[in-house]
Amino acid sequence: MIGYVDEKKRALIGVRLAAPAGERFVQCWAWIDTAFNGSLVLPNSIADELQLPIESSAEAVLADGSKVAMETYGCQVEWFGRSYDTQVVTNDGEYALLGTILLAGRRLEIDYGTGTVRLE
Amino acid sequence: MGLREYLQLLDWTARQIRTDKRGATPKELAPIFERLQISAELWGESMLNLRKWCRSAVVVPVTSRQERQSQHEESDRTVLTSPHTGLCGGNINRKLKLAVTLRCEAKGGGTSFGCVVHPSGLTCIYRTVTSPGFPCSIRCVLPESLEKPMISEKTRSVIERAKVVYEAHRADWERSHLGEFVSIEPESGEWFFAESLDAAVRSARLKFPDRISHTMRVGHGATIFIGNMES
Repeated sequence: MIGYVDEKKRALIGVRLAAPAGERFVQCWAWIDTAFNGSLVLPNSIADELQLPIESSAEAVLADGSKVAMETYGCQVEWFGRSYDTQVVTNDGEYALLGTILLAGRRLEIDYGTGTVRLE
Repeated sequence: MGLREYLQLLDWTARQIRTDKRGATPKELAPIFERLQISAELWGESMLNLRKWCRSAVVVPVTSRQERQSQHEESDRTVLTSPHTGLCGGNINRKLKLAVTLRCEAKGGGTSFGCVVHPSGLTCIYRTVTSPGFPCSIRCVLPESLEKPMISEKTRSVIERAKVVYEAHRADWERSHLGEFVSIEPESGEWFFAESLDAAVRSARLKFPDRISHTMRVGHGATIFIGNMES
């Protein structure tokens, strides 16, 4: 998978998402976040658009050290050629965050010189 | 507000408190009061009467992570009580870094009052215009966009009941399932262990497709870490 480094030095990679068992996929850029131990944090707008169902809840520790309870949503992510059912959380951010669950077992190369991101 | 401006404000405030050194508001303080959205008179009045009016309001510098966490718990929805007509200030929430307008409610004889917020988010100053002699309690409510709960009441109830189940089994689970994920479905009281959050929720949904579970990581303080990996 090929992505890019944007002008703010964010390493972004494209992901395709759908509701569980859904057929309509939407594509978005996700900011690779190695300090996030989940699969995806989605902007609320995407979760709303896909009408993702709340399936569970979990407590999360945020960057400022605070602990919050969050709802987790069922989501289908197209990942390396296959569909993967996962739990995602949402926030008001501009970009989706892609965490270490989806990076596990992969090789991530971010080249800030050429501005390319490669995940294989 | 920078250190220099803060010291200017401090110096001027001290002069107001020491009546022998009172003077006119210096020109250089005008932009500071403008940004604070408060008049010099109101600021001076609030400082002079801080102890009298601010029974439950304390501004505490936050330095350590532990202090910050406990402060969030205490101050996300600070309830300030002012038994007098006047002003009240308090530490609302360090996270509120942008100037916001708070909606305040007066009870017990309150008529109306305005509210301004320190741009740093550390202090909220209210001006009450309740009738003298009437006790007035002030509840400070975050604006809707900030106050919007991250979870619904239904989910909150699921979490509370799931935690009761967890606590009942904590010793056993932390001995035999440490580090695993457990989805607890509180209606049935059933739980589902798995090696990942996804798998634990999947098991719970397979058995109860229309119910919400709460997923915890056994023996860990939280299940998800965003920008703050567990040490």
